[in-house]
Amino acid sequence: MARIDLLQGTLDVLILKTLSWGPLHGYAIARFIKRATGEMLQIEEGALYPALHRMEKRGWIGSSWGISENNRRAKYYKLTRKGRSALRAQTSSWQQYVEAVGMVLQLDRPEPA
Amino acid sequence: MSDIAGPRRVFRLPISRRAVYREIDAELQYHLDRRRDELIAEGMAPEAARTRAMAEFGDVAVIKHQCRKIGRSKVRRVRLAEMLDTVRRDVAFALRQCVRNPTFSLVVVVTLALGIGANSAIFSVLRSVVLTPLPYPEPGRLVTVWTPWEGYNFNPLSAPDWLDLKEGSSSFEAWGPLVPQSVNLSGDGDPGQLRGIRTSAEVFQALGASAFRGRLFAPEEGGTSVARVAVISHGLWQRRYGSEPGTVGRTILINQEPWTVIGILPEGFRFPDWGGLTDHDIVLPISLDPATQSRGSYYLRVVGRLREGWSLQQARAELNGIAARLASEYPETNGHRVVQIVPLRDIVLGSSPRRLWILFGITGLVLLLACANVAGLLLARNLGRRFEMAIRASLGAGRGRLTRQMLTEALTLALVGGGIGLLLTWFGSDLLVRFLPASLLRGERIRVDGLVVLTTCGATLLTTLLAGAIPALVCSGLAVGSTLQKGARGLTPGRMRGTLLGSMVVVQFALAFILVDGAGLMLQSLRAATAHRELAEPEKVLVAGYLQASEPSENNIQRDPFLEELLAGVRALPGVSQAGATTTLPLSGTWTSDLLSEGQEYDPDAVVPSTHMNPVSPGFFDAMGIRLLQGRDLAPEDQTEGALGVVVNETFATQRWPGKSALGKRIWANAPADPWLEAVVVGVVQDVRQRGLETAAGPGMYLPFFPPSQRNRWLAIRTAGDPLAFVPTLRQEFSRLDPHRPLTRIFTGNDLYQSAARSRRATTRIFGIFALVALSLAAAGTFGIMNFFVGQKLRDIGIRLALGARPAEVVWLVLRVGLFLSIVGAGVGLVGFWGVSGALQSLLYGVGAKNPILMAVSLLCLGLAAVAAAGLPALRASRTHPVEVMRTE
Repeated sequence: MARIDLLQGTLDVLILKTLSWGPLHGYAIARFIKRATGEMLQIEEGALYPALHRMEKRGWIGSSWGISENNRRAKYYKLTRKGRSALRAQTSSWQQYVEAVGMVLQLDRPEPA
Repeated sequence: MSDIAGPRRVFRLPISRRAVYREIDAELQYHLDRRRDELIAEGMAPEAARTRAMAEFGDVAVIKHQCRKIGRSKVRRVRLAEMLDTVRRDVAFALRQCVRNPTFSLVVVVTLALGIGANSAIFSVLRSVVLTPLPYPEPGRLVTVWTPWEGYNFNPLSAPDWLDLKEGSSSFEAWGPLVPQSVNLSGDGDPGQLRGIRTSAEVFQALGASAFRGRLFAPEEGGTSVARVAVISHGLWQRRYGSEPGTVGRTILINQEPWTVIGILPEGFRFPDWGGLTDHDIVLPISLDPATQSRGSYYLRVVGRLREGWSLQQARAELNGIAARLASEYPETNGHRVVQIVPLRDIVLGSSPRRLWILFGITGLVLLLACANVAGLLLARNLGRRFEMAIRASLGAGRGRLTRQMLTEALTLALVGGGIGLLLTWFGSDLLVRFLPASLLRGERIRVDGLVVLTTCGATLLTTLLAGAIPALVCSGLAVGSTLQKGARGLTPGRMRGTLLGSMVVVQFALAFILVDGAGLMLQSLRAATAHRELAEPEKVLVAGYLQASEPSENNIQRDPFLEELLAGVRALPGVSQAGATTTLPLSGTWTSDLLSEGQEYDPDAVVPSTHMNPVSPGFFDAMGIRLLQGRDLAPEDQTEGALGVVVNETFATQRWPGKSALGKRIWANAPADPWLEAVVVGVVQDVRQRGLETAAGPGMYLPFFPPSQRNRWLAIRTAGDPLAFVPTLRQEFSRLDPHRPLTRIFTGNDLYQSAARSRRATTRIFGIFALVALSLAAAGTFGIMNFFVGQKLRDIGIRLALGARPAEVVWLVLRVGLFLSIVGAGVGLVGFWGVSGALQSLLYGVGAKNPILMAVSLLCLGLAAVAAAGLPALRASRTHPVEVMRTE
């Protein structure tokens, strides 16, 4: 199966959704997204970090340093209230987008005006 | 912001770029290490695992760069937020302080509002009048041309001279003559007199004018034969023709003759004039026929636009070359005549830039005084707060922190003061227009624009620095010092602090002295200018103007039957004791001519002093109140050609025939080529000033006839009662003689003096207001400081009183300080005044800037202000109860 390039802005929704279950560090977010999408999405793991930092600056997620599973210091991210509402807004607009594109793709031909 | 701040922010640990970079590095490294370890655990060789992890990650350098960029902007944002937070807290603290001490804050705010408001008000006028360029394209290239005698100024051109100059010159892109001329407009609607101007197509070109509707003049419509075409103003088009589009092409009656309207000027277009820009309702082409016009008749004002890249000097050199040629060709008229070129701006603005800059300087002094005042008050208050400061310092506030806090307090007060000052300017600008001499304004409203607001902000910041810096620095230094150790003893201000407080008083009195003395000089000038009224009982004279309808004729000396009939009719009315007419009212300007008198020979090289020429009717002297000294009044037979009789003034008589009687002496025009005048003196009258109040009466002569070029008439009617009550009767009589002619301006002889003094009176008033403000500020500031001083010294005073000092001695002790400071201040002010007196002298009349009597009076004013200001604190000191003072310790 061909791998799909990630659309602009999609990564943000995926990260927000991932964090909605609890705080995680960057590496764990990357793993989770990879596994959840069945490795179908082409994500350059590094691209995760600018996205995380940008959202942190926007106030959607907060961060703090903690001890990870393998006993090392890692930076944990956590969804803020602002981030939660951003996730809701993005999810619904994403679904509308998908439906709209799907509707067009399912048409045989446009009805005459 | 809260998420970024976190606990780190609570403890105010520095957020630094480097720390952010370190975090990014650590985070990315963690990811790479974790992936590598996983791959090794899956059985990969360590080296290969590392490479694989890097590959999966992407370009590490690029991602690191992106993260750092985001981090940097985050740091900036946090720092800004922190700074704003500090400022907010400082301002909140400052506001609390202000509210806690409302009287103090009110005094400071009002003081600063006055200082800043006065400055921005004058600046807004300066901006509108002086700093705004003339409303023509590239106004820097516009100049005026004059042909005075060598060593003189501003003589207009004669038509033949102008044509010769134009013929020979290439300095100008376009240039042409302007001659104001009132006209009567009748036919459609009521007859009315209009302000008109005659000019040529080139003047429109030079001024960059284009028609709003229709067209302006074509070059062939002026010159020797004049087309009967007229351009009207936008205002006249709206007023009289109701903005009808069909006005262009319409025929109108000007001086009873049909002219065609060919164009309408754009809205707000105005012609340059002496001391301002003037609206003219109607523009007619000018006729310049060298065949009929004398070379000795100077009446053209010439305006021109210099060619691109030509300098004034080049144009002057070129025109003076032509003038030299004319001088040898026509020595009678053009000998010693030179060409003078003056930038148009200097003519239009006249003396207003100098006046306004001086006024601006005055308001600058007021602001400086306000600063010294506020600095003194802040210093006194902050010294009083030393204990509080000391406690804050001991709790860890650094000197910088305390200084910033006190500066913020000063800034808060200044901002409130500046804001109110700006509001004063905003709403007061209309008021200011009324206070200012009318000649200063270009008609437009005073604008309060961005630059004015910006200067106000600048003034506010400057004020903060001037008024806040010294108290802040001194007191923060004090706080960090050992105030707490000294305890109560430390509460007495040290010698240095006392001197500093005193010097604030000195500065205020020095500035107040300059302003009070200046105001005194202005008042004295106003008195000198208005004290002398040469006309007898001017309040009984009614003055009314109208325009003589007749077109110019060839014959110079001709009767004016309409005027004769009018005067005869008016004299016969009840309540009129005498009536006469002139073209040139006293104080209101005149024209001059060069005359030779009996005992002199014509000499082309001799410079003859110019004589004021005033055409008058018989009866004018009595009616206007000009005293006849010798001989008789003019009579109708003095108009006889070949036997003209004239009246001269005292100056003329004594200059020409010292020690002898002027009666029966002959005079004639200093122009053999054009002997337009030859007459015998029949009477001598007292001197009357012609050119305003502040130019002494020169030699003058009264002609018995009205030359055809002088078409305006001013009636002077001496009445028994209130002259204005006579106006309806006059109007009735006037319309009986000619129902189509309008009477124009009507006023009294008193108004002549009033309007001549208006500009000086207004300037004096502004000076006086500023001086009063300055004196009150200085007194208020001194009161504040002396009161503080007494408060701090209460313990000493109590001890003195306990030891048997009498209250009067205590009063004197305090008063002495106030008086001493005010005298030192006045001394400093005197020295300062010496420096600025040169600039002020140009505004004065009839009094020297270094007038010792006025200086003594000013000193007395300051002394009284000081006594008043120090008096209350002195009384408070004398009522000190020793026991109570001791108890408060």
